[in-house]
Amino acid sequence: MLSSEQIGDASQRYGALSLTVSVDIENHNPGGIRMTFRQALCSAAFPILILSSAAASAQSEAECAPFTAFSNASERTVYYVDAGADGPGPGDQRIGRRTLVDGDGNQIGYFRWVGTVLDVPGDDGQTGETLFDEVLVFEHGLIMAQSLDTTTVPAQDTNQVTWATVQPSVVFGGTGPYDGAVGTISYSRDDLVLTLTVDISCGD
Amino acid sequence: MNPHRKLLSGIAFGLSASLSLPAFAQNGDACQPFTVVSDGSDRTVDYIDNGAPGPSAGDQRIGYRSLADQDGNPVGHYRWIGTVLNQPGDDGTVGESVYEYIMALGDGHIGYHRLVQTDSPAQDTSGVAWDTTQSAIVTGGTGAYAFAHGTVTISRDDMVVTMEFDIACDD
Repeated sequence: MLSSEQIGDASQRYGALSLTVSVDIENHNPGGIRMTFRQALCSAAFPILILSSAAASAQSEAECAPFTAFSNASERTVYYVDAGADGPGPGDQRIGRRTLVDGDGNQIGYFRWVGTVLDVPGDDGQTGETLFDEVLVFEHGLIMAQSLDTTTVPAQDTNQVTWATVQPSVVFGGTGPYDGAVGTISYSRDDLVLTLTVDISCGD
Repeated sequence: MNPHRKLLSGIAFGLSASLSLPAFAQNGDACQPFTVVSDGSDRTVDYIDNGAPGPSAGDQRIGYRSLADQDGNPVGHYRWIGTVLNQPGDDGTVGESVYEYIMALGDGHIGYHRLVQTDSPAQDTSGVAWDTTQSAIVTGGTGAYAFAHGTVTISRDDMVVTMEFDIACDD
């Protein structure tokens, strides 16, 4: 989970935003901040949102709804674990962490993963596959996911992202406001910035 | 599942998915019960000796099998990581492993988990590590299988594995 300093910092930022941007933000939904802010900027309703949100009070509940988060490669660490037989092979792991921010660059949580190498990409360009177990960690809860990705990058090269064409992740649960979450996480990468599009619901 | 969101999920998956796999369902209504078969002719299994040298808890079986529909047409493949919880004992103690699967079909992925109980040693990669029909829990899906839930009944006849997916994608 987030440290108390991170939580406090994020809460202050969310609180400030909740008074100036939109109703979605009162739920502390990081994606809601991004999407609603964009929509508001592009909408003739933006002035109305500003006026109506002035009366909105900050709440401490996140919302189980689709949202978008971002991660800059500068806030990324990856470790390579040489499991099993010495040298690259099936069973090796990449253990990573990325900080997650909203569309305004405010930290909203982080993303951790264990990628287990299923087979190693070949020198001839043959792709390898890696199975990822992923956790998105937010102030109020977790979202669990898994994915199967193909790559031509050796797992031990931790300076590179391993996936060339990343597949969406399967969301299979969560805690707190994400209790019972199902859905998908889609990824796109623009140079150093990774965008996570989290399409979830909690069955209600 | 909301039809609009389902459409968006399908489009998003289609943009990112490999084009090399055929779509399993051609009618666009893939998220319903179906059966796939792996005859074992295109199969690899690696044994990973983690932790203490030799067979022990924490060792893993990492595998691949190609998949066909019931008419024998290729539809994709599935991968798994089986982590040994305890090895079967000489005294007849049943071995247990947790298996995590992802199946890659042309129109999406499906994840599922199960507990395998077996008398077969995990390090024997020539054979299937389990010997009875067992069920798995569908954890979810992507693309045409976004928001999937349900179970999988997994059975085998020698090296032929049959998986019956009882799934739905309404949320």
